[in-house]
Amino acid sequence: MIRKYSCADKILFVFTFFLLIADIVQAQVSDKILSIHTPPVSENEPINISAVISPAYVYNKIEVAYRTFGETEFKRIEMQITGNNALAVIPNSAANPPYLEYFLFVHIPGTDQPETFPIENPFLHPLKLLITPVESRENIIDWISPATDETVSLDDLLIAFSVNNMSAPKIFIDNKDLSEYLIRTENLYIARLENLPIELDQGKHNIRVEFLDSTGKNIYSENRQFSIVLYKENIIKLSSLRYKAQLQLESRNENINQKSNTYNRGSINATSDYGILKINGNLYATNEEKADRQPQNRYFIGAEIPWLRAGYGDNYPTFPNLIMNGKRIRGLTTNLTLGFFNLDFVYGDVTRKIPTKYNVLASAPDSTSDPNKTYFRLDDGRFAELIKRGEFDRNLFILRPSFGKGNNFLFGLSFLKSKDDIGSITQGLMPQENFVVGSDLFFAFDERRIEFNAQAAFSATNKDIKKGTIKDEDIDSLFKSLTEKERDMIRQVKNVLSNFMTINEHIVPLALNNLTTLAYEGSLNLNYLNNSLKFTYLRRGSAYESFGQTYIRNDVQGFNITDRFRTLKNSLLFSFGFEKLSDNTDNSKPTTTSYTTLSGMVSYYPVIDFPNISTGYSYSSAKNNIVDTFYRTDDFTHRVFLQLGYNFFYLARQNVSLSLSTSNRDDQTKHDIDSKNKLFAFGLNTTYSIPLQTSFNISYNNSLILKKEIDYTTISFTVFYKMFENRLQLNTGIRPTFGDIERGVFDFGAQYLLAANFNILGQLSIYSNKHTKPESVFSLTLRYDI
Amino acid sequence: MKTINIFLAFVILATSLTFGMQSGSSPLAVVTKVINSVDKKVPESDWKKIIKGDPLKMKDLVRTGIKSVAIIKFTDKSIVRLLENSELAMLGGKQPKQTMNDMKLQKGAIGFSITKKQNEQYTFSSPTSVASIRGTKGKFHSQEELDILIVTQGIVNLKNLISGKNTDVGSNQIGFSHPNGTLEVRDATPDEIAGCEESLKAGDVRKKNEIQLELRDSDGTKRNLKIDYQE
Repeated sequence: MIRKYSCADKILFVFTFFLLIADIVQAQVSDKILSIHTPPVSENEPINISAVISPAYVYNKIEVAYRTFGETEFKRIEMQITGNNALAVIPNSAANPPYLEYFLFVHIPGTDQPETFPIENPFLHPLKLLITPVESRENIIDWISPATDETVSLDDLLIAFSVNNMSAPKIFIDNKDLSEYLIRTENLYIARLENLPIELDQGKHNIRVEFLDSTGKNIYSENRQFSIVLYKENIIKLSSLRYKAQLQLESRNENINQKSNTYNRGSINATSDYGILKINGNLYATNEEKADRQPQNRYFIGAEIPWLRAGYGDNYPTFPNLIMNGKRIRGLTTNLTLGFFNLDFVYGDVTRKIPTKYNVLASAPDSTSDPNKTYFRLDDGRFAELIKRGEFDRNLFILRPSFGKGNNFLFGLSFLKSKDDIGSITQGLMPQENFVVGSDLFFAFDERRIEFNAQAAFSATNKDIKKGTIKDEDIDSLFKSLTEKERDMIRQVKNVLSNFMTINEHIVPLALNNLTTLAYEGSLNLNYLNNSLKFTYLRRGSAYESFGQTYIRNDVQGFNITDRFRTLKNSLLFSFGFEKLSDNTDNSKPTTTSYTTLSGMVSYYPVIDFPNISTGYSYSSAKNNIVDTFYRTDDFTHRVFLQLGYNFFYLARQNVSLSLSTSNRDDQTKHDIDSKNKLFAFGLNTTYSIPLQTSFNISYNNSLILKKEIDYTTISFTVFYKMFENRLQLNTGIRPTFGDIERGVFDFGAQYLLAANFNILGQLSIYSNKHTKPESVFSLTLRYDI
Repeated sequence: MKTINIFLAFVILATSLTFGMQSGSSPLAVVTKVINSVDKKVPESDWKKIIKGDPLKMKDLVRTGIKSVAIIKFTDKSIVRLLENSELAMLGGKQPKQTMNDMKLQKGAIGFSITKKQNEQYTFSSPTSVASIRGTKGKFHSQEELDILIVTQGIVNLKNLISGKNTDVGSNQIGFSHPNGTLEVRDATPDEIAGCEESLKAGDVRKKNEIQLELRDSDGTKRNLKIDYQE
């Protein structure tokens, strides 16, 4: 007997077979970076970039390389790896409309070069993140009533606000969803207390207005507090202890490359406040913690009052970017903010010692020894074969006094000292020491329509401090070519500077010619007539180095101009950028290479029911005038970009997006390293009236690099469904890739609310590859919120 | 060339749609409080009772009866209080480069507290005068024989529509605009200031307080005196 399937059966079948995890934002094929998520970002907001990473690999580190509109240079920031997630917070100074470009560097042990994401041609074809101009974001909600922190009687309470350029909001009063009681008139939303099924007691209350995208994800929210007062009664405010915490335990089993591994992880995040005192802490522990790796466990505990913060543990302190930014340190972090005078102090380890691994040889290596191996001599004279180079314990200290509140004026001085602990490991190679002194200045006029920023820093690095500071008599032998008078001066300088750091022949700079370790940059920002014009000049010497900032581009000087012009009530944004940089700042190279970038973009954020559109073009070139040798550089790249997004209602709430981008690099040298890339992506997210969400994405990628063409298409279809009054949430999806890369991913996950604030989550992913057996990852997580 | 044409078409389309949207009749303000008798009239319909939360659009009329007040709030947090026996017409509206919240006081008085905002201006007009306002507080009173403007904060430009003359009325000053075209300004008296301040609180809930005094008469008998008052 043949069974006939009902419509419900078919829906259930489709449902359980396809799934998914809500946002597959970037469909680039990588077996290490499974997906990247970025929330909507508006101008001057920190940018959170998170990546889901494959548990099949061990990661030395993952970095985000990013640059703002109109810039050529990519800055780097290290991501914090927690379990299968990596997170980086890009400073708000980089959140400049119209977009930020970025890609990832993935460092795997045993590989010389990091892999990138996207894999193909990331420098020319990085990922793009649109940045919403702040005016647009600030004007989303115009509040009419209540006023901020207004105290009103029950009779007087009225909730009214108008909404610009967004779909219908959800409204919560004291976390209770009252959206269905909102009355809409054009873009005006009103909630009358007499219509609401709640009773508001005397005291503070909170209104939250949320805007969701089609996947149900919160894309923007605003909170507003108000107080209900019953007259004729005295109100006595008492400070009380408030706290919240989240505990999570996870066990993950992976079956990759026919090997089975289990990882167990636990984390606690907690915050509390009592009056003005706030305390926060976090702890992350994993069985991946090993003595031969940099710390995988993380912890931090901190306390703060309005003018003082202090914490101990793993932290990512932020200083002027020539000094320190995006680097983890384990130790003490303090910040004193008095307004007219502020003091930042950091002390801790940026690198943990890892012993050198080696095998002692019975005899000295000879011509029969493997030339691919590294041999060295131990202190006792024996020879050894290097297995893995160790790392010294490296401590770092920063002191930064600053003056001013930073609203209109701020002047700071920074002192950084960092040194490898020579005795921390045996057989370590070339322990180093670094000293940096810097200053920074900010001032603004005319309600910050004019802003000036500048910073400068000078570094000194000793590349090998093992033998300590040089002796006076050694100066004679090392500087034979100099006169006795000059050698005396060196001795005097050495005696002074050795109070600060180790002085010997390995120090950089050895001379002050060309100021190779000097870096400075300044920018002027003018905001008038709907224009935001920024001019930046920078110069970084070829040997400038800060152990707190290891991702800075050296040996570069030049300028950058960007302008953003807004019109039509900020709905239309024109952006232009021009940058001219060159290297060879100390004339030590055979030629100077110039880098030119010209870019323009138009973005339309309609105030009406119409798609938002962004389109842009950029031209960049790198060229020097040397004759046709290995050093010759002569290439140019054209890039075109178009992105459309539209929210509408047809049967359900729909969000459709479309993006097209191309890049074409033409290498005019004999190397002829041309490359072309085309990317097309389409996405449709649907939110139904029942608790069902679906997401369909398709992307086509075509790359031609070194005359080799790679062509593939990735499709993803996901379903997300809630049941039993949202206690059970299910997700499932498939992500096949066709073409030159063939791969398939199937995901299934469930989350169940066992008890109040207590969730259990399960997730299964199955990977099918063309030439290998299927692989799987299964995880089970318990999460408890206090 | 084709690309340029497509781009220009897009810009023209976006521009026309954006301007097209701006001419629509979206709410200008909301009546956040109603005391006693307050009515609203939208074009081509009759007067109807207003309830708290009713939006006001361009060309709407609002009127108050005896001992009645309507508090009208705008999205820029400006507040207009329509005092008793008054009638106000909402004239709008937004222009490409600035928002003009024009209101015509047909009769009666308003108390106003206007937020200072770039590219935004309020005007209160009567058959005799126009008061152009940015970031000020005060009271505008239209009577048959003259218009009276009292300013407690900021500066208001008062223009007489008969003569075309105009003058600034500053903080704690009072301006008079006569049907014969004359304008005069002088310092406001404390009573006039107090009356204006009272208008700026019209409709607010007054905090009720109670004082209980325990008294003894000549015989030593306890007497309680209870005094209720409003701030």
